[in-house]
Amino acid sequence: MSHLDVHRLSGGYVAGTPAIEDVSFTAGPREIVGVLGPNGGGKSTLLHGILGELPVRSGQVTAVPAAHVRQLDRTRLDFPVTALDVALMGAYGRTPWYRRLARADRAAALAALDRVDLADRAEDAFGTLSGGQRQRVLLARALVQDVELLLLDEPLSGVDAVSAARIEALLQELRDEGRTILFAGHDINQARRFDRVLCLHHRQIAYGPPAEVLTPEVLAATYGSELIVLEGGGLAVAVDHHAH
Amino acid sequence: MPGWLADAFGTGIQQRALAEILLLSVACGPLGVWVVSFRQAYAAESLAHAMLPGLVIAVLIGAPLLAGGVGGLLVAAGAMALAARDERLGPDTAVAIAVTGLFGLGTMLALVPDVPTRLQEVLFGDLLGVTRSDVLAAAALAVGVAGALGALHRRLTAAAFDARPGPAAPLVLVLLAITTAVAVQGLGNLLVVALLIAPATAALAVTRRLVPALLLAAVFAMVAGLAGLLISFHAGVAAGASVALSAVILHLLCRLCALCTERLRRGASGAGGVAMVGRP
Repeated sequence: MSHLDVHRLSGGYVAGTPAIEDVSFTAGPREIVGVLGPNGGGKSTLLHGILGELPVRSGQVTAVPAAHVRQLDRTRLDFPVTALDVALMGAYGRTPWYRRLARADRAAALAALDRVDLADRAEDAFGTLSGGQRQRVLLARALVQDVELLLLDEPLSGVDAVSAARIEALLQELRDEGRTILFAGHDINQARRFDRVLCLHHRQIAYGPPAEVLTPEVLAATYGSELIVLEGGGLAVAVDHHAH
Repeated sequence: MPGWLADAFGTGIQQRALAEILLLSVACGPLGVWVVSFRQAYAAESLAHAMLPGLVIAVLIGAPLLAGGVGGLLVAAGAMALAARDERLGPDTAVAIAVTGLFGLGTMLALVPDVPTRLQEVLFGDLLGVTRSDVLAAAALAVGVAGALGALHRRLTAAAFDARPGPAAPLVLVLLAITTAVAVQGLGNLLVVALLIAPATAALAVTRRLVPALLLAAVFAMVAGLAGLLISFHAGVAAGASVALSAVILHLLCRLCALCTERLRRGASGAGGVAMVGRP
């Protein structure tokens, strides 16, 4: 049984100018799906579309409950919350407004912080943590949500090497536990380690196992002029950091 | 009780003023934290100013200020929504246009001949003129706003942290509008914003936790209210203005305190570090 079934999904933020068109794919348990595409190619829009948050949308999405980890630069640094407070937000969705958060949720939040190696920073203000630590706290919040589908929007952008290694290892663990992970990113070499890859440039260019999908032709169609050929024949993407 | 305190609150008028400001503080302080967190301080200022025509009309026809305030806010909200429909303007510009227009209209109405003396209350408030029913309205406001913020706490927290206002920001605006309409009797539409924003920014300067910030903002608003009434009584100056200035001074003190703490902390962590040597 699949965790996510996207059928002919199109949509965007303004009527008449779709950001994604005709995207169809299925992702099952124990799968990490890399979503590759250029800046403005529709990766974030696809995640919003899966969550049903696009103002203009057509097509069908069938998905189990999902946790969404947005790009790191979208979170507030001046808001007065600790790492533990942020992790606890993962339990908000299952707690009625008139109930206090359960002790089990607090334990789950502490366990999630421990899992991202930040148990000792639980009481630190979120804004004082490094970029990589903040991303790990946001992943801890997603873990507390305890869902089968994780939608990660460029989870390694602005993240230090130590945090990146921890996050990559964690994602493999979560995959092995039976979860489905959609990982929107830029790193073609990293995507080769994923189970499937979706190449997106407004339209779906290709979807399938990395060995079949990550061909020079598909990557050229996906990235256009952002694709650079490295010495020795390797391919990489020149990324301008974007803020939208 | 010391004489300077007992003297200031010896009469029923003064006690009602104190009750009014303390009850308004319960609503304004915590609500202000959310207003600041959702970056809606400009909206707070705008709503308070834009309700002037409604207040002036209430004065002219002898209706309660609360009714005039609510009517004024409804018209203001409608005008802002209408102006915001012009996509070329952008929301801030649309609000500025609507607010300036309404404030101008209010001023024009206020300056017609035979202006009732109560007009001054509208602009600057009259804490010492609050009636028993004003205090009851403030009590209802305190209970209502505190209850609503308690019920919405987790939704507001997640929305503010993720900078994804969703339906939470409009809820804050509705509470803000109601609070402004009730508080205008005591503080006036020019000064009411001070009790909303200054205690909140003061609290956010000295604590990095949300719930303590919400509680501290209420306490700071109360302290500003009490200090303002004392200054007003002993110095013989306007009560609403004294409260507003006390709140702003409290804000400055807390920012200064936060700045000094930060400097000390940096100084402590920098001690023994690497010295940077520049070229002459």
